[in-house]
Amino acid sequence: MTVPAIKGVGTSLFGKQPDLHPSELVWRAVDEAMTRAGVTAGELDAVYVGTVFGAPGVAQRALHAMGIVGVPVITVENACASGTTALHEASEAVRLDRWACVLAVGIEKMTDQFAGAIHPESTDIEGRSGLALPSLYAMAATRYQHAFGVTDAELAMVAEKNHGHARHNDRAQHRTPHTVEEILASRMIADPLTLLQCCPIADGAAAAIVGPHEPGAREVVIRSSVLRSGQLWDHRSEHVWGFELIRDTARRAFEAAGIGPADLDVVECHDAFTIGEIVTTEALGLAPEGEGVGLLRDRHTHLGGPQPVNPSGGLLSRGHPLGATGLAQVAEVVWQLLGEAGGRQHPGATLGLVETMGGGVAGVDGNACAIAVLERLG
Amino acid sequence: MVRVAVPGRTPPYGLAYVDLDDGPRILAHVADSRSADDDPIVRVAPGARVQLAGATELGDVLVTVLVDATGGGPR
Repeated sequence: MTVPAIKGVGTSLFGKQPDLHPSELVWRAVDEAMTRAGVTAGELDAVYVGTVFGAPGVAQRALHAMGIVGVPVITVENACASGTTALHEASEAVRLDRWACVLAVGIEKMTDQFAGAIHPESTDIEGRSGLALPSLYAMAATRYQHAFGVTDAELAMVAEKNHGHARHNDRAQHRTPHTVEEILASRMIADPLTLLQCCPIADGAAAAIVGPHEPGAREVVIRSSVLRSGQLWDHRSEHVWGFELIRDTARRAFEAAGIGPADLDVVECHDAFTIGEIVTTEALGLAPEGEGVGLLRDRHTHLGGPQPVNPSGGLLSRGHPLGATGLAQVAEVVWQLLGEAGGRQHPGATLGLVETMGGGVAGVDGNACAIAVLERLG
Repeated sequence: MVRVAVPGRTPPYGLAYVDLDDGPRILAHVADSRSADDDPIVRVAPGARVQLAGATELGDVLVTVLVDATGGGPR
């Protein structure tokens, strides 16, 4: 088997870009990734595409204009984890020697379809009952607060951190820092989550080129990549929604990579809502269960701390174009590991992790979770 | 308490996961989750016991809070 590596990444700008065609977003991301990797269209063996609401043929419509034709183009959907799923499949294709040069690209143009929260899925029994995603996370937050005595202000500390990080990310949708007081004073979306604790919908694309690891090359090795769907949600579980899926996926990712959470230098995780980051940092093992807020209080996960989480500003600030998000997270960790993250660089980062949680389906504790452990060698 | 616009529904409305005594866990709408002055600040405390109250106009499972984990009703 082959050790897969990320040869180059690229992204569009993120935000509400109603005047741009989806193809223009793809072109910007893919062109940057291919240029960075030194790869031409004719060298690509295959393309994996992550998108949720993309029109049929959304990728081919963009890629043919770049000369990327005559290769398999495989579109995958895993809700918010669609982009990370595309990376996972590209990584597996290289690891298993199916292909040697694979493009993973995520694309979403959301402002054409939504003005606010994503509409609940009417074919899902809970979606049909009005369960919008903010309310799913709001119930998790309420239960978590009850279990561990966490205040609304402590939840808001996640947004304070990530909005602060985004000041240094000129591709992010929102780059204005906010105080905890401002965050709590913003419009309530689903109690206890206020507007500034919820990720904005966005338009965007992100891409990565994956190929075999070449010693000495300026690249990032994929030490492990794990993708799982949720288990039946056991009503006897005391954990909040999603915790067990993230925990179980992380355990497998760490085992395959031969590392533990303490070894990580930088993390990009799924902070679609503030409670998401707190629960995820615990499920990843960065903090004991119920003590995730301590990471914020001690500035452990702030830029300047030992293990920055969401240095890009996360979904809360970068915006959340569903299919693109996972690969945008990957791009951020790759830039961090290569020392190319500019004003948000975590010095000396060599080992990073990307985690994306992929939406909800009634009856299971999460639709999908994708985790990749990335490393710069040498 | 959902306060965002959802197609076909009028916010705010209260939702809760309810663990039936013998399982499983179901999603339910919570009746009377608005306070008298229509300011929806009510949060049902985790651990509260609820009772099936029928269905909403749209056919959702509807429950009422009997007593919360601290011994009180809705707060």
